[in-house]
Amino acid sequence: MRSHLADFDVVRPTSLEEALALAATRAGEPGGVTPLAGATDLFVPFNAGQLAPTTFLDLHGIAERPWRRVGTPTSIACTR
Amino acid sequence: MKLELQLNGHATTVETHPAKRLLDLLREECGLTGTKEGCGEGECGACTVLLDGQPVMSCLVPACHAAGRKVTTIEGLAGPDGALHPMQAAFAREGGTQCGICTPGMILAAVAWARDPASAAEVGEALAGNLCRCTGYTRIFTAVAAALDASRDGRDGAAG
Repeated sequence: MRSHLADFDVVRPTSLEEALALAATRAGEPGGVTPLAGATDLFVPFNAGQLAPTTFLDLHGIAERPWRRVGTPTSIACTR
Repeated sequence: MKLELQLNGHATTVETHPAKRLLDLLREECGLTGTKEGCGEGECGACTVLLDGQPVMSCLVPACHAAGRKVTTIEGLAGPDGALHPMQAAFAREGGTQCGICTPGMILAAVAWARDPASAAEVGEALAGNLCRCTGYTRIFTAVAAALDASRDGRDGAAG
């Protein structure tokens, strides 16, 4: 069964500083924050209704793309 | 969110949830049901669309990732007069269709390859991300080859 869209929020920072601030302030909220890069891994469980409700921290709005994938969808290392 | 994108060459604004699948946005909000859902988990390629010219599986793309970008669906390939794109015409002529579910994705992936021949060495590789459940690959590959041959001969433009 598909995930309920209403259970998910998306925030779209435009700078690394804003992203880190959002991650810090929303980490304590129910579901926490989940960095969203390419979405190809996260959207498989999301489509299957197997992803716990969370706030996606969409990194595509950050023009300089200051990250690199280091493994799992939530393992994102800052390269700056 | 208010999502602005270039959809099949038209500036489009649509109100949607940012995490909605691009596939659902196209089918439900935009009425473009030519894009098909196959597996819904990024394996079969049936939902392939072009995002800034690159083939992507729209079941794995959040709507917010289409913001400000160019999306081309199967509906966007035909000319303004409704004339089929040469790749579509080749699929029809060569019988590169059977049930039709994989066809839009196959054609868009083939067009992307025609536009960027360096992206794959041969047709089997170019369409490796697109599965045909009717096992009709032979005629599909024949259609793509015919479209590319015609394009090279200057008869029409499969890469258009």
